[in-house]
Amino acid sequence: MEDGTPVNDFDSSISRRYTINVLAGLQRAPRATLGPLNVATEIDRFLDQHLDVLDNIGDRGLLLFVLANDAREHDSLRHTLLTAAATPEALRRADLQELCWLLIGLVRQAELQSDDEAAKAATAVFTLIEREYMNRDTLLPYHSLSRVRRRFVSFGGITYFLMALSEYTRLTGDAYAETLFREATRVILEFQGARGEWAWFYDADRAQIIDWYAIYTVHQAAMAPLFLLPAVDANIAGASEAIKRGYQWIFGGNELGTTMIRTDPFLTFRSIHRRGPLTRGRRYARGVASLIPTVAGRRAPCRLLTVNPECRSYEIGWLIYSWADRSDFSEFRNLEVADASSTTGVT
Amino acid sequence: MRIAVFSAFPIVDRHRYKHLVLEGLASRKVSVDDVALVYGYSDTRALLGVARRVYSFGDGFARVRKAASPRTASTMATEMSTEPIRSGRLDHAAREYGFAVAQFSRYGDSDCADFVRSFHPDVAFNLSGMYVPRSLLTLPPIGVIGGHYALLPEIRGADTIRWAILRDRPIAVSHQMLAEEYDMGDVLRREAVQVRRGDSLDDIRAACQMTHATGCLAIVDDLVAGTLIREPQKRANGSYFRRMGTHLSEKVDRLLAKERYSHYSHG
Repeated sequence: MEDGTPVNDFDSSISRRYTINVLAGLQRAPRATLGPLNVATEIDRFLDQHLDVLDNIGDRGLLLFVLANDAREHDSLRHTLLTAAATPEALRRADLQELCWLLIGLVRQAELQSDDEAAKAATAVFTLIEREYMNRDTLLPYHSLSRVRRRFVSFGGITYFLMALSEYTRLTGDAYAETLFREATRVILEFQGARGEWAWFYDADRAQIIDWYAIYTVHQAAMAPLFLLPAVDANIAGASEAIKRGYQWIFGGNELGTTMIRTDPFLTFRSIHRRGPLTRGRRYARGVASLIPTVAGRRAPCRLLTVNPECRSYEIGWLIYSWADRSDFSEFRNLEVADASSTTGVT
Repeated sequence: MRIAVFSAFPIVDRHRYKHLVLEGLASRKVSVDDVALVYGYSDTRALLGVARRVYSFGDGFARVRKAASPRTASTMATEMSTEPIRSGRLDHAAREYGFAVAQFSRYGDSDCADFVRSFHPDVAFNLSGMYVPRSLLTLPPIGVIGGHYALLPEIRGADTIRWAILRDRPIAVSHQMLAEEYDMGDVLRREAVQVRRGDSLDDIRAACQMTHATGCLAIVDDLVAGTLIREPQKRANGSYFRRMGTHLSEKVDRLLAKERYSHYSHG
């Protein structure tokens, strides 16, 4: 938002990834809400213009997910992903999000296209994640196999890890995967803040929050539901309340008392974060400092916090994906949540 | 019938349930012609290696030191269980019964296979808790039989008692014909294990061990009577559970301490 007006920026280097995210969401949206937009045509356009330069295994996995949901076969994409799944050395170079997106793509392909090879590949990827990308003692996932970066995992990574466990369980009925999903979800539920906020960075080895900020709106009501809604369906205690607290945060129940959503035009404000630039260096410094027990997970005073008024397309994509086919939590789906804000929001 | 019994770590091998197996075999003079007790992991280095692998080094070293001390009436720890000791070393008891005893570094050593081959066992029972390699699995014509402390095929893998409690499932011992792939052998027998209110994990494990032992002897009787039935497993009917980590292990301990388990025996 600039001067109260939304301004579009298509220059992001990860716009292809965001586009796949958006397509995943739009696929689920009721046809009547799409207007003149034809999702199948948009998928065709994306494949035609961008598939050849899409080299990230996670992005390709998510694209397979989109295509499987659209009942499409794409032999070359499928083949490259099956080959990747059979090459552990290559997979180990991937980070958690990439592997989880690969897994959910293979799962959907297996499930919706009755693809046994994809099912076997999904099992291989699940086994790798479970054996090498998860701390068995804390049940938190690792970001990657990098010695330095490994233990510092983002909430986004945790979300995709739990989503992948849920998807894999649905495909296979595997009791071990199902137990991991249940118990890891219970662990994560313990981390939710008093206002329903989800911290950004966690230490997978010590099972603690490293850094609360930025607190992202997309985590609150779009990405957390990727695992919390399956948790609700699995009758995991606390999941329903966690979803509710999560979206109440958006409607002003946050430390700044600010509504993080606008309805006309519809957009969500990206985050509440510490004032100052959000540099990776600062984040890593904070991560290292968090190894000091008294430093880890400190909250910042409100005067040092501010709202990031950006809205990124993938945020809306996951929002639609998570909620499009639900019939519960109507107060949120109908945007009828009581506004708890004490300020008029971002201008 | 000629029977080989596989065990491990002779220096700390004092488990009561294993004594029960040897006692039972010794008492079946009509049907059991000869028994050989075959040890793998016989040297101290192997014992320390497993202790370090299964536990943290400090904890493992303490357990090994405690297990190796010659106390006869106190509780000793091995890598598998903690239980009161009623008898001495198993290999000493085996010799008293007139059974052959052989010790090797690894089951996979060629001299171990040579010994077993020369003994000509009809069947073997694995009481070691360790993996038995193909070189031994194929030697007895009937096979090598092991006890698995969970219902097969439902819960395969490691820490099976803990996973069963976490998932609120009944505790049982399943005897299976060992195969190269873990916990995928034909199931021969399943028997429920009684869990009493107030039982700790060690109590439950001890109960599983005794059920394991009585089950081995029942299988010997079935073999003699020709009534043993083998039930092949289907992979899709069960799941493989990995070693349980700290968070869930502590949760299981709390569940037992608070008696929040649905399958306690009545009476």
